[in-house]
Amino acid sequence: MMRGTSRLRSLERAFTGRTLLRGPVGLGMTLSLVMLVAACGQEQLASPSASGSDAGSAAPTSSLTPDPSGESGRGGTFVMAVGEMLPMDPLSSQTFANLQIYQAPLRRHPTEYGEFLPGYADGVDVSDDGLEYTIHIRPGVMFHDGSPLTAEALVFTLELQAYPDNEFHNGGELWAGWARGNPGVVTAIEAVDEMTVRLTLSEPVVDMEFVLADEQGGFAAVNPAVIRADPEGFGQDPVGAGTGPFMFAERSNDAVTLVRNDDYWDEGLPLLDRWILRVMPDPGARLLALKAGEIHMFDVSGPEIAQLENDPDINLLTVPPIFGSFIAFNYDDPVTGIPEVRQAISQAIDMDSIVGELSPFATVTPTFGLFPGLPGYRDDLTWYPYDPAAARELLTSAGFPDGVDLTFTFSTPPVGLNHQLLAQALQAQLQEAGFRVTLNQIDGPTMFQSGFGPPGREDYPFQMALNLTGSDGNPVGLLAGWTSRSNYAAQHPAFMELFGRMVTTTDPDTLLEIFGEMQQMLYDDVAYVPLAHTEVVRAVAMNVHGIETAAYHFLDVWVEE
Amino acid sequence: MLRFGVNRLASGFLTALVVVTATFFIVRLVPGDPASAMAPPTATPAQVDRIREYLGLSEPIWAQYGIYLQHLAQFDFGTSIRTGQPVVEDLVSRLPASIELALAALILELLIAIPVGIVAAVRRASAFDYVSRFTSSVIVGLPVFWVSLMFLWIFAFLLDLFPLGNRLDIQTSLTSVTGFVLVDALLAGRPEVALEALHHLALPAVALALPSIAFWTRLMRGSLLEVLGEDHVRAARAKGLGRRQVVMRHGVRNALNPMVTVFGLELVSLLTAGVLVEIVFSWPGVGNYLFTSLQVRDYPVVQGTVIAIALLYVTVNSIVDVVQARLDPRILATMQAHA
Repeated sequence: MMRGTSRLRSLERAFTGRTLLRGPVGLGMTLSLVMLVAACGQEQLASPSASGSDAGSAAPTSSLTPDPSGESGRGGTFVMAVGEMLPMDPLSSQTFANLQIYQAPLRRHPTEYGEFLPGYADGVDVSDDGLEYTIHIRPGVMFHDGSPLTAEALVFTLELQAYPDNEFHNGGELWAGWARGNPGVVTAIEAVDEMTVRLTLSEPVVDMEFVLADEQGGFAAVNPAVIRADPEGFGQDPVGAGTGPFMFAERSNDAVTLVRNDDYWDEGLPLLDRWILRVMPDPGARLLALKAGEIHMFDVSGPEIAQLENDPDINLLTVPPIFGSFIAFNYDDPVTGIPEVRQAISQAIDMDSIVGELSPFATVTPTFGLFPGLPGYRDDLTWYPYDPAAARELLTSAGFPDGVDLTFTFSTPPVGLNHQLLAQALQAQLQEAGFRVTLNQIDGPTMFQSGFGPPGREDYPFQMALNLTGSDGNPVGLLAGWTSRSNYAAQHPAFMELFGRMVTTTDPDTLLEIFGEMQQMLYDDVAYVPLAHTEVVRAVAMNVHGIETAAYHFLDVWVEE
Repeated sequence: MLRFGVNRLASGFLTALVVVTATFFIVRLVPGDPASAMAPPTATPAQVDRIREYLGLSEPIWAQYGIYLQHLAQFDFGTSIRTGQPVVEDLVSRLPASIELALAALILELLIAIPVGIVAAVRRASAFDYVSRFTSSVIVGLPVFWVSLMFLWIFAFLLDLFPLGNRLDIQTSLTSVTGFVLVDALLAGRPEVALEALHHLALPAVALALPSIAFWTRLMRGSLLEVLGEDHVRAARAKGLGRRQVVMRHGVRNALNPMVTVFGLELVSLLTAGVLVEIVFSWPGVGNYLFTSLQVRDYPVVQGTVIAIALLYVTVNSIVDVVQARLDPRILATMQAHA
């Protein structure tokens, strides 16, 4: 179990993706990600060149990437507002800027969960047993100081990330890189030739594709010269550090400016001249700045959605990841430990009547374990139907004919749905079915720190809590989450056993079977109550083009100034 | 005088120690475990323990306290859990922004409050007096956060008279030398950038100064009224001095005395009051730093910032005392009597 957990670490914080690159590949074949990358790549890269010729006349400077409306253009300065400034060190912190400066072998598809686009590798081969990964570096990929990305340079970066005792291994410890919590999983990292790196593992890593597409703490290529010069602090001013589409230019305490990397391997991209991250901690100030045209984009939460929804000058879009709200239970509790009570709670809730109030982008989560659209999703396991009378009966048969007291703990997370509104609405519905619900609001960090725990945790501090799960679209990470978000798994060894099998299997069909079984188990036990989910909602100014295909990478984006 | 100074320093040091100790333990009493926060949801207990050890949280609390004091003595405030950067460096890079804002607010306060207070006191019970008193009681009650947002909305957004926050326009690039944008712009020989910085500074400074202007106006008015009623002022009047001379030389000069005491402390308290203003105006100062760190329980940062501000308080307080004792022998005498 120890072995399995660490490899899931990267998933929990990854952005998008699907797990089973191996799925479509026949048994016994050597899997080549090249095929998949090429397929995705063509799809994405073909459209510009296909329509580029006839749209060319409209382009002011170049006609590489016309936007869907048929206009084309390039250039401009794009300004995005965020709440805080972090160092641009992909080994120790996560920030939007890292995703522009650094690259991984693959890149997550901006909108399609589980699709990948090319990064600095033009192919990655995986051996049959899933133990050997061969990364073919794309010729012509250069660090921002003009030095080439070679196998030697890549081995240097991978070693310092994979081995905690490496002399350049820095505070990245805290970000729990994919291999670090699992010492010994990487047995060798070697340069096969000048442009090829081979990675040998001691056991298969079920979701390696996500790691390969992770620019932060995963397989980011960082310039060895830059790290050697300042291992701890290079992230403050990462000049020449990455191979990504934008290069670090300058930084203050309230802004980071990146400029276009003219030597980027994908010729003609990126389109923007400058990409700026501006720190604006107050959401109200961000909203005004967007309306005033001082910034072009920010991620919206809660109340601002309503204020922007009908604004003709603002484009509201959604991007991965998904955030799902659910009710978690304490299985040691004399009330919520009873399955009938949990089912009664589930049947007392009518999410359809609430969801509209929460966010126009929210969807009711109808099933258990996975979000709709993910591989292995069981659409036959539907929600326990809303039926307050049945809920009352269940409560009576559980030994509470006069109703029961419940303490419902919640916090207001900065992402996802408005949990205060949601908790109040649920309280009202539960009252009708005979639950006397006391709401207990706590602060976000406390909820975050006590609501999540190690897999198979035995204690859970709340009787019943409104919690949040994020998904990059990876079913493995999502299902693994149910082992850590309550003490359900500790009392259901069969679930933990499935979990253990899930993270070690290499066979895609077996994996899908396990997904199915786990969902069935969560459903039968009413392990939690799924409520509703939403993607990240993003507000963008109308003069930004190509943003529909840019979630976290801004290659095809340009700004009309 | 020297002995007084030494005494003052010693008591300042004791105060600082109390603050440091209190901060250390209060931060640790807050529920929540930073090690679990840093670990991913799927981390095993062993992994969480490793992180705890890495953060130095596995030692007994008294040992942690000892280590902390030892580091503090070397001006080592620790490193931020989240960014891995030394807290001192972060503070030093952010303090100038906060001090610039606080100083601007303080100057505004004095420029407005002193004349208004004087006029209100001299023309006591006039319409001016009533209006100024009424206005200041209303303003004193306005929450800084709300005032800031309203300013932003009305003057920056609706009327478009000022920028929507930050210290400079996004296109402006200025090499940081002192960290004070105004000074840096002038050093670089770019007066237009200095003007731009002033333009950015105006709204947050006014928002920050507003409640204090009201306070200072009332203080000045009350203090001057008191002095004007004293014997020496009556004597000056009796000597036939002009009204202006009586008020300015005998009245205002003496009335300013109590304000000097508050003056230094006001600067430091503006630093803390600035937290909310900094957030609304995206001002990259210490307040902003404290706010984001609090949200993620970044202990070293919260501790370091609180202690830095407390130390500033203590230092400024000591300096004010010494300066006052030097200016006014009566104060020295009273303080020595108490010491």
